[in-house]
Amino acid sequence: MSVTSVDKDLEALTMTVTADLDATVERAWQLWADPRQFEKWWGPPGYPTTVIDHDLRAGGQITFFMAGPGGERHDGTWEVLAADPPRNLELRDADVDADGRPNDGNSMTAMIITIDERDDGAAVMAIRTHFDSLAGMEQHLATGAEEGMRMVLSQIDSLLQVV
Amino acid sequence: MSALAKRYPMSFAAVQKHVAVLEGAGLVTKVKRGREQLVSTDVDTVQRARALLDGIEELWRERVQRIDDLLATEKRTNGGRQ
Repeated sequence: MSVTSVDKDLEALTMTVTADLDATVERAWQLWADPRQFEKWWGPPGYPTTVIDHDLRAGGQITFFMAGPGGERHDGTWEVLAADPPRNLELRDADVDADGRPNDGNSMTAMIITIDERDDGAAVMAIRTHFDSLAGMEQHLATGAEEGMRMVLSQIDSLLQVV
Repeated sequence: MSALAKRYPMSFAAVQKHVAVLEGAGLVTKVKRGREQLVSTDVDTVQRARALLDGIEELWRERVQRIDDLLATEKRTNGGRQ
């Protein structure tokens, strides 16, 4: 059970990750709907996540923070655009300016989660993330993706060596 | 831009639209030279975008792994029941 596909669109700056889960659709929904569950998988090891507000209804807010090993704190604030248990959830970076652009240095413009049921009853979860800019993607990586960031940096390093 | 449009099986307007999207994402730049519009790829940016998306892919792969572990632990604790 794991990631079955990853679609990246360099032009639109979107990415869709699809995963088969060894769980029912209702159980998969709890990964998002239960803040204690969410805390267990969102952040990487060494970055404990704490959910503060968790109002999973359209118009509601989710706020959380991750504490880094060096004492740094990464805050996350999402607005719930749509929540249709147990299959559909749409979140947006809530801290935006009048033009709808993120203004806290946070970048994720939107995240759309869809949970479908396979023929055998298992859940298929797809997460589509839309980014507004490269800077936004960097920010997303920096807040909670030590491994990811390390990978990016090593890739950039090797690119620089080629050039 | 018109030379570029000839290379794709789509209308000039469609190519123009795509270029505008790429420009908005910072992947290409447009420079005016006389009556011509020159489009150039910002290779660094394209490679940076690709590297960033690769990193974010890794981030999600790790999250899914943690979800799998979480579900597996729960199944064991519940004696196979969900």
